[in-house]
Amino acid sequence: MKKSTPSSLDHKTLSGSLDRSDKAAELYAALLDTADTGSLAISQDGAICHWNRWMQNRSDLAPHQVLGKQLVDVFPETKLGRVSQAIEDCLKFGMPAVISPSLNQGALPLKPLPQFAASFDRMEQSIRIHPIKTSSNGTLCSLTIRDVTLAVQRDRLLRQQAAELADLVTQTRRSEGRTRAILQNTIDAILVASDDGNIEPLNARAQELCGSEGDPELRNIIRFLLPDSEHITPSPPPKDRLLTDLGTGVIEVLACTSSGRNIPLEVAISHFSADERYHYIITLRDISQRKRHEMEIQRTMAELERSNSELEQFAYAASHDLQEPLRMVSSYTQLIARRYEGQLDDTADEFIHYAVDGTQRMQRMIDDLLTLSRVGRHGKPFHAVSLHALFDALVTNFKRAGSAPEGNIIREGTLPTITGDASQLLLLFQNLVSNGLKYSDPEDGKVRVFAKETLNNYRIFVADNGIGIEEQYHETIFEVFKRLHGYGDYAGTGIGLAICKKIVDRHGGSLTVTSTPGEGSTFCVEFPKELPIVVTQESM
Amino acid sequence: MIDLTELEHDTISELINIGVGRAASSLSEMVEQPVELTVPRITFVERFSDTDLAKAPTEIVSAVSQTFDGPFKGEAMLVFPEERSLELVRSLLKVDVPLEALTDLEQEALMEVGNIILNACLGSISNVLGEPINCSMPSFRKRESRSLLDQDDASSQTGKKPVLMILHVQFMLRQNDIDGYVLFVMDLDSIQMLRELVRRFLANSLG
Repeated sequence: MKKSTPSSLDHKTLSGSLDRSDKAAELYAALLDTADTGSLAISQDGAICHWNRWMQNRSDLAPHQVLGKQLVDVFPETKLGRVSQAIEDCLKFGMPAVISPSLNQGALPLKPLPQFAASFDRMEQSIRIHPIKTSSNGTLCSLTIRDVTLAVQRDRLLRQQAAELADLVTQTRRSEGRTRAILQNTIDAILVASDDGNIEPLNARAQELCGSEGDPELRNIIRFLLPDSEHITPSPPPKDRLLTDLGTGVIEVLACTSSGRNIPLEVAISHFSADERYHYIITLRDISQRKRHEMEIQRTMAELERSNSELEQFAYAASHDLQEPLRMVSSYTQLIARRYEGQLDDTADEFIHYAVDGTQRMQRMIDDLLTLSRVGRHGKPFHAVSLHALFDALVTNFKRAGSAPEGNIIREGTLPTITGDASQLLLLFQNLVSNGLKYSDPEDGKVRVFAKETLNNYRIFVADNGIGIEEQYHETIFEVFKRLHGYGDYAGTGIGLAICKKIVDRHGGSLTVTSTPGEGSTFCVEFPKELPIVVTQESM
Repeated sequence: MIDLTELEHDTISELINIGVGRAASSLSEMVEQPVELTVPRITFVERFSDTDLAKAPTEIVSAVSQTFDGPFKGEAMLVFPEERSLELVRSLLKVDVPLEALTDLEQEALMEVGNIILNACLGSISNVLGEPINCSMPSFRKRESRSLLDQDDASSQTGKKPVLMILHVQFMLRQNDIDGYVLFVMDLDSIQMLRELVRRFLANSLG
């Protein structure tokens, strides 16, 4: 705007120009009021001389409340602040200034838009301060204020997400490192196979077994072991590489490494799905050690079995062969007894009686020995045996033999049905019951039979009210020919409990005794509910 | 060539140091942490290729530039290698998770830092020499250092060889030193005018 000298212009022109400049001023004011930025101007003396509508709306201060006042009087907190300093520099030296939201949060106390009110106390502002030279050679200072709250909010969000991402990356890396370390340091070889037949070793051990130093055939074996897929039909591996029958649940294969070492491996396969595909996790465990132990056990077992059967063979043969000469001695001594009793003197009669008794005892011992050896040799297959029916038969036997008074065998509660050899079980309980009766008062001897069930076992108790057994003999009474009493006190060969023990052993159970001398003994037979494999496999 | 006496050189250094000191105290207040600014070295060179910045011509630099006009005129610039500028802004704003590039808000903050320093330097010279200087709003540039001085509009190339007054600026904050440069790019007439004004100032104050 050029300096006008009013005196040189006539009134009309003057009024016209005033009119125009009024109109222009009106237009500019209107433009500034419609602008979507804050605009204020400060005159040389620091007084606010312009305040547009945007400023009014965001500060809740109308122009008449601020015009002519100092900025620090309107906003006391700007005193000594960056804005005041910049305005001063602008007015004094004509320096423009940028005032950024990051370095000056909420430089002026202006309200944020309602949508930001929740997270922002103040509008975030980007301010430009411009010197304006006036026609009168003075300097005005103009402030242009932009609302950048949205940008600041976005920036915060960006940073927050970046921080979260960084955290996540750190965490992921840490857990990944841990997982990798665990995987790498696992003794088992771990591989993953996808349904397209691709097999990838996951750890060092797997790399060792499947890598160039390992067994080239191993991948094919694994492919063969995986469930069938549509893509590939793997050829079966050599027979000697599969150590177990498929379908038994346990898979053992033999890896032949290029170094010539044969490693038996147990294979476990599990699966998971990812990316809409099936993956298998294959774990290979080196079972060399276990295999060595198994071999050792098998060898010892075979050895044991052989010596056992030799022993049984011997016992059977011995007792069987002894019977023949014994029968000879027995028949002739009996003959002598019958024919010459009373014809010789009393001493001769006594001697003959001893000879007959001796041969009879020897006959019973040989019979019992034969029975003992038969327990192992002539066992019958196992069936379900109702102990109730068994004890019915047992009581009938005793009654028929007339060896026990009525009602002295008492059954308490129910007895279970167990799996076993019926005739051997009968023999077992017959021996236990007759033992109980034998060592009791013949008039008042009573045997109680009852059962208890535990989680894995059935326990059958045979309790008597007899003389009892001292604790020191609890183990030895189950040995062959062990007798605690003279032959004259209680009859018997000393083999009965040994037979019982052998029968219980064959059924995978255990036989124990508890006793209080003078009050009675309780024998406990424990049968497992599920027979161990060794028992069923052995047909003995 | 620019032949400044030692006294003249010292005077200019002093003017610059006054301005830089003022800028440092403004920045310290704004970021509520101690910010120290020193100018260990002021050099005058005739070609940009003689500057330290030109040693890595393809390095990306960030620059805040303000043109000035008065008895002497030209362009004042605060220049950092891009990485340094990121470090500086993030130290000032206490940002813990840096993003890979300057965000808009960080760029504006850097512009304000440049504005404060350049204003302080120019203001100090203008004030002491008693000559008003008009400054433009700062603008931001990011480009390879070798094309730093290329004008955006080719028409304004007058063919006059510029002379550069280069201040090596060190920022010390949060146990972190960040080196940058302040460049005053003027033509020979302007630099001679500056020297003339300095001489006059010395004559007045000594005389």
